[in-house]
Amino acid sequence: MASITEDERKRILRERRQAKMAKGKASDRLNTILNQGSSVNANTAVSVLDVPEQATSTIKETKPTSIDDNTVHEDPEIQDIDTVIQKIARTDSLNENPAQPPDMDALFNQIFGGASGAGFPSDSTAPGADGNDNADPFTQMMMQMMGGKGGDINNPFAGSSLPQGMPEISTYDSEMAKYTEYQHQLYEWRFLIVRYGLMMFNFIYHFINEPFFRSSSLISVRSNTFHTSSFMTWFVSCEVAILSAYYVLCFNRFNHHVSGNSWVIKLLDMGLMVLPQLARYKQLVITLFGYYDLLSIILNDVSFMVILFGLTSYIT
Amino acid sequence: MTPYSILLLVVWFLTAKAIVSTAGKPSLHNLAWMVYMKTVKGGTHVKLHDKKQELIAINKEKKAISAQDEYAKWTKLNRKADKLSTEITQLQLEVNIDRTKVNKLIDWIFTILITIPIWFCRVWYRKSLLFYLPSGVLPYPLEWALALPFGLTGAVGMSVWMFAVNQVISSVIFLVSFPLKPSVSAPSKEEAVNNKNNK
Repeated sequence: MASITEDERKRILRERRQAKMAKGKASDRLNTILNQGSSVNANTAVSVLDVPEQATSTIKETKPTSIDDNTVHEDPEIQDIDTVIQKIARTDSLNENPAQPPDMDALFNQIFGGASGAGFPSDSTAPGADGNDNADPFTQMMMQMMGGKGGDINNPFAGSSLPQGMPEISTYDSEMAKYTEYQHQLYEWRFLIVRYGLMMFNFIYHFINEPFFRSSSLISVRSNTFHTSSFMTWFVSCEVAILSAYYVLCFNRFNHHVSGNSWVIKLLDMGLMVLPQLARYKQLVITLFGYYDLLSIILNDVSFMVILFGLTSYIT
Repeated sequence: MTPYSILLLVVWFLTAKAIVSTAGKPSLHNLAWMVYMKTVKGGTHVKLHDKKQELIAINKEKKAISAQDEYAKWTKLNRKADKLSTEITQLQLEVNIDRTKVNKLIDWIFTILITIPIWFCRVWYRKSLLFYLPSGVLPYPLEWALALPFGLTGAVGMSVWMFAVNQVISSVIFLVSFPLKPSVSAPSKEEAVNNKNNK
């Protein structure tokens, strides 16, 4: 007898299996497998091949979430949330254009659009945004409270003709906030280099040229001998120049941004919901934050001076 | 200890503290765990690694054969894979416990080497005068302020020294770290709208 190839053997086996399955008795075979060849047939499992067609369809109908009728596996191992959302939206009869995936931004806009106040630009399609008579009374009240009372402090678009697309603006705003933060840090970094450079130069110059310009762990440096040093004059002059430049370049430009991140301003914003009168103090707090920024520059420079004196105290 | 050595010691401890807080504890924990894995041979993590490799090999073998044509072999491999999975779960738990122990050890080391010495210096040397400023250089109000809270006017104490060191270290860290950050370009409104439309 001629030997058959591996492929032929597989094909013959497959055909035999299919012929066997075509005969029926799928439940019997299943129970034989489940009993592991035991003579006592305790299992009464019914094979899916023996279940009538109607019963199968009933089971399918009663399934709570049928995601896709075309799927081969009814319960895929991993479901992508985007796919699920798209498929649910596709089956939604209210959707006018089922072929397109739902716009999540538009969805959020519909949810939150009604609560947008004067401080935020809103989509014209959002309920209550157009200021008509059908608007939510709470929204109207909030818009009246916030209108023209400093509600636009953190919003660069307030008072201007607002663009129609809320999501684009929010993305633009977040990118702009990142850019402003980076620019602020960039200016701080440049100023820091200049400040430390000037302080270092001032200190080294006096350290070399003035013999009494020495700190020490010995109290003898505090002798009653009167010395005059130009160190402090130069220090103050540099500070005034630096702070003036910082004020001109950064104070008004980044002040709102820096203070906006503060918890005090956030607390104040929360308080504004209850007490609208607090709005008049918000600008004051923002200004104080700006001055605190300037004060911290002075403190940092004095600290640097103290460090230089401390580290050179060993030399004396 | 001489005032100058105390001064330097404080600088050292505060610098170490600033570096640790800048690097972040999780990254230091990860680093310590990597060192632990490389140095300790024959630990639970090695067994876990071996078992995982074995499971990968079995899964590959399982995928290479047909479950219908070679049912017995496939079932045998499947049973083996199940057994290995159980073992891996157990070993993973043990490795997690080991990792927690290593993290705790690192935290203790930081506390003993950095936090406790800083507090010790803060309390023990609170009245020590670290150095005196030269007379006639700084104005009196500034000298008085720098001597707070316990020092004589013209001297610098521990509190002011620690404050100054912290301020300068944070500035130096910012000075070094900022250029390493990726730059942010200015956004354009049109681009944002176009991106949205393209979606």
